[in-house]
Amino acid sequence: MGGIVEAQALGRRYKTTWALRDSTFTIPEGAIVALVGPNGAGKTTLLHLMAGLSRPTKGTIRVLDGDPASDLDTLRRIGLVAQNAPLYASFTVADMLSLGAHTNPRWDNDLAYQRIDALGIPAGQKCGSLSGGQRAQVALAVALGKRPDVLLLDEPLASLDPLARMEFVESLLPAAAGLRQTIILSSHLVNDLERFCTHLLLLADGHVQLSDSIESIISAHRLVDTSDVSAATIIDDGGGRAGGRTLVCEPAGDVEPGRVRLGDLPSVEDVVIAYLSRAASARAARLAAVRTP
Amino acid sequence: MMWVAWRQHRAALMTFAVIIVAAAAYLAYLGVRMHASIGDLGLDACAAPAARTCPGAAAVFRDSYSGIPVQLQALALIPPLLAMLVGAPLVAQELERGTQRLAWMQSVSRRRWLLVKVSLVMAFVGVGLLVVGMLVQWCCGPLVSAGMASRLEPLIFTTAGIVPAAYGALALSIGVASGALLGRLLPAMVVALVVFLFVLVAAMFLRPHYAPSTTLTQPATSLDLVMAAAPIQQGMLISSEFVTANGVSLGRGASNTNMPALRKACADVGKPFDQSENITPDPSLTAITFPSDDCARLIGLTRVTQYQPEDMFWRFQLTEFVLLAVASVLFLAAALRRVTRLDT
Repeated sequence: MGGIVEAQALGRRYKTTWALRDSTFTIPEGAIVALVGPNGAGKTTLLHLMAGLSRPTKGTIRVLDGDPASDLDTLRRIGLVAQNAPLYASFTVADMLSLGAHTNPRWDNDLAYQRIDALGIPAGQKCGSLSGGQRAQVALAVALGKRPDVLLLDEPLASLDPLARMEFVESLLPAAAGLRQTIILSSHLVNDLERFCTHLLLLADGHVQLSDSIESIISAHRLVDTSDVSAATIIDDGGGRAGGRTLVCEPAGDVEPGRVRLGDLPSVEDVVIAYLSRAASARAARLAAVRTP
Repeated sequence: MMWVAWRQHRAALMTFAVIIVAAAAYLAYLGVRMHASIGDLGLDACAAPAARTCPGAAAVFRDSYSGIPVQLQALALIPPLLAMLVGAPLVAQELERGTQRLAWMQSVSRRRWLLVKVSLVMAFVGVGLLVVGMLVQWCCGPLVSAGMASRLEPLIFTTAGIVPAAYGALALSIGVASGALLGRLLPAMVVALVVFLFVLVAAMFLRPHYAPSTTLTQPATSLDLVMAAAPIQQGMLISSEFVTANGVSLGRGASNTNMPALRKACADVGKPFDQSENITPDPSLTAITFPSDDCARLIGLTRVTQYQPEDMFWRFQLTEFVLLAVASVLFLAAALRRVTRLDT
């Protein structure tokens, strides 16, 4: 189906709790995906499933038409910068790049060194003494040197200050454009990502809430006054938030010719907040039902 | 991957190499000195066991090198330290610091990742401990001929010959497996140490049964019975028992529990204890009565000794080497299984 990542009824359980449930989505080639959700929504679990670090309890996940957990040829084409950008503290930056060179057949040494040099990170410095931003950049250089077709970044911006976030993102994008990479980045804040992502994968409570291109997501939703709701599906009624308005979903095909669409186009943030708020109230209702039999 | 493994473990491996080189240099010096002393004292010309045939020269040798057996035994500390400081961190430290998410995202299978790391460390440990083991074995020659040690006594056996290399490999495997299974360094170190010590003790109990033991039946004097001295000069003692011609067992030597049986046996042959001469050389024991030599002879006092002779050393080394190698493979297989299946 042309999807670079295809998940079918994907679920992952840790002991008794499901970190991810019944998730089906497709990520097309070349997409830059914002994987967004609150803490504990299952973002890391999903990225680890895509990276082959963990295996599905239920359903399937295929990346580049292979199984990343068992197929080394698939794994060769996937790069991951795990949460907190793990590096060997006793290695120098140059050692980290040598590690990449010695363990990856498609390694691009020039690319990796260009990134380190451009950022002014001394190659002789021990990784244990790098700043958070430098760590993230070195980990990214190792992941990019592998020349992956799919690049997975788990909270790459978490340890960075706002300026470093900008630089990180800007340094990431040209690399993607040059190599036709598919990039999936996770964050619990959508604002960090909306400016440069083409797709949104919204997770809450272990479920995929939304998965589509940002364009389609925006055009399928409207912000309306509560009284205006007619044929559309209410996603969230604003919940009494200051300035909160009702977000409705109007599938494009359902609009009758000549009928004026209701309301204003929402921002990505409006959509994300509405879906997360809906997931949170559903969860609260479920927990209340469990407590009061 | 070999480069990565070397870069990761080089500090530990270099430290190990320095310790091994220092130990080997000391053992070589010690061996040369002790072998020279044996020649100087003329012990090499004495019939074996030299400790009995040339007691004077052997005593001089013993006085000069009395601390050496303990020093050799101290080398038995190396494998448990390897289990805790090299084996356990190999996987556990990666899991604890999250760096397995870096290591396992390169284009190397987890299987190969683990095998290359383990092979590199094992090659170092194996070669190092083989050198040390052979030097210890060489140093043992003079000690054994002077009656100071047996190659079959547990702490010498595990530090001499080819077995130390196998203990090193086993210690690493146990450390790696406990690290992979527990995923946290400190518990992995503790468990690795406990498991290794358990194997060490188990081997000690199993060792006498590697081959059928040799039985030695000798007529015993009353003094033998009283002193219950070691019946053999060399080798591994398994059991020693005094019996009479009538098949009455008197255990390992004279004691309160077997005294009635002994009194009765002596009375039966007409040599009751009240007639016994004082045969004990120790004045503090004069208050106690002992059977006379006549009684010992008349009741047919015999000492039955079961033991493994000193020359079983290499056969036992080979047996234990194989057992330890098999155990190492099992622990490594468990570690490999865990690492390839671990969800992280």
